[in-house]
Amino acid sequence: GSLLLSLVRAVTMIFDLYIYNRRGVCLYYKAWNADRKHKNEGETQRLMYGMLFQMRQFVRSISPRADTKTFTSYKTDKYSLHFMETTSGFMFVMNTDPAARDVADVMRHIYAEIFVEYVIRNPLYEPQTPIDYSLFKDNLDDYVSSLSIFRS
Amino acid sequence: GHYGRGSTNAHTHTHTMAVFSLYVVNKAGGLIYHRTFVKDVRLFDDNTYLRVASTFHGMHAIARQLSPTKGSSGLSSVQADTFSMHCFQTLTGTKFFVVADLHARDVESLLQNVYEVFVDYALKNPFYEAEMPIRCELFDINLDATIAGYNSKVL
Repeated sequence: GSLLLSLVRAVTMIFDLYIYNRRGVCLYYKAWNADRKHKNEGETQRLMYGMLFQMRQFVRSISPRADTKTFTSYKTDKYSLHFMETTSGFMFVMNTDPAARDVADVMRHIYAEIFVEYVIRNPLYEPQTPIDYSLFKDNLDDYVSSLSIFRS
Repeated sequence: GHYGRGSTNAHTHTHTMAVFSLYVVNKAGGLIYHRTFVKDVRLFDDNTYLRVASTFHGMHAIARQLSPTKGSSGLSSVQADTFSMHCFQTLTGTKFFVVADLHARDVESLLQNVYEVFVDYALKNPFYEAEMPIRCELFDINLDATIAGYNSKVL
């Protein structure tokens, strides 16, 4: 079951999460362990979106193959950024420690079980607006906490 | 001026876990060397390679700015859905990055070896001017041997 998956999961540190809609509006940002405070969060969110867009174009332009569609992650010495774009055009960005594995599964779970469930399926949610529902936030926090318990 | 351009040296036909090409970018983001090591991969014109180098130079720096934690370096690797890219930056800001197969391994140590070839056959060449295009035949030959050694091991 999912408890066993948590035990073998290799995500040791999740820094933060960004959710964008297809127009580049940041619908949600949450930091759990980010020790670097950006002076202007809005500016950072716009810079992040610009980077995602540019990186996606970049990998298509340098690819040795014609079928390259997107990038999935990048790393520096201190963090790994994982990127997922859904068919409906939402973009999920999760920053973790550089050694983390299976982060794509984590993002898929957040999208399908938490975002779709508590935001998209919420009849009161106005599309393209920032997300502020405690059901969404609490379930997300609970899920992310559950990943951190079983550290390697 | 033109960047240094080793001729395409196709000695590898299968691409599993191989390194396909190398870019060397100076500290200002200018492309100073590019070479492709395998056949059957897409090739581009000179302007594309120049643009790629300067775009990467910019993103390398932005990755540091976007870090959620203190003291991050710039980009060290990128995974696309179908290939990977790995970068080594020297203390003086020169970047060596390779485009490789999605499953390429130990690319960091390969990049160290490439750097050593650069030091031995470019930097130590009295005719080579730092930050300028690399046009040293011994660099081409020894780089080629280094990549051939790596690519032949993974086949």
